Amino acid sequence: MVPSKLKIRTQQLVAQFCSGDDQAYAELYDMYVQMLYNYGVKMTCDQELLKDCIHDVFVKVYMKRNDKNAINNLCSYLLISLKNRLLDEFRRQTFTTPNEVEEYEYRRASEDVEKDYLCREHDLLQSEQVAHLMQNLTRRQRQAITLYYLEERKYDEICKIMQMNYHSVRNLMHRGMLKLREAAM
Amino acid sequence: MHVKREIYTKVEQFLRDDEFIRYVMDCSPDNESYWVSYLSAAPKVRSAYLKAYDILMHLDDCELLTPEQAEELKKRIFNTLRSKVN
Repeated sequence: MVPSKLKIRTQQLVAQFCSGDDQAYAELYDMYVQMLYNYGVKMTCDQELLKDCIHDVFVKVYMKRNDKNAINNLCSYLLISLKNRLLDEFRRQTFTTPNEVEEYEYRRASEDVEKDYLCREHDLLQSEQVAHLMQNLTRRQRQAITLYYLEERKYDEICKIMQMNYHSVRNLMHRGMLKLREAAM
Repeated sequence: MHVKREIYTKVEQFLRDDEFIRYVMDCSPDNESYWVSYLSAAPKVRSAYLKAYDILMHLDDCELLTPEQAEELKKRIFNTLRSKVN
């Protein structure tokens, strides 16, 4: 458990920061940046990427300062936000930097199967044949798959564009991919 | 209330579990009994569990930013905020 002193101090600082005190925000950064970094290096060996993601997480927290509920439990909020941010980046990178895939595979061994599958599907999608196959999909499935694989949008963007939650988008894409594969056989 | 979890054997699985993160970091007593029983139901998860716990609590062999790097990143964040707020 987080030592209660730290927790109490965090709550004080969050309260100050929410009422507009940037100094409190800076202190929160000092308190938590190393914890986030230490957590992040367990998920990626790309230091620059990790720093970018930590940057984004802190910016996001700042933007949410009027929404006290969102940052009620700052500590877990920061960690979970960083984790999600990193996972978004991993997904995106799989498609944009094929030459680093080996390194990527190494550090995320437990997801190899899904990743390989997605890479294969991605290659497949680039062929012309696919445009034809896509006609087998429903409009929504086509939209989700186009956004993700062809436009390389991130999940959170797709959720916004399609006005759906993350799980629904995943389901939609999953069903769409199954249908595509069936049609391709 | 809890999703049914597979048996985690990798540290990474714990580290990616939002509920686990909340349990460790937010000291939420409601979840305590759940995780205690999860741990006892599957003794082989123990080492991954403890390692993940240590990482979250910052008790492992920490890898840290140098003070200069941390300061630089802080500056970058404030620069971004200035450009966003103005």
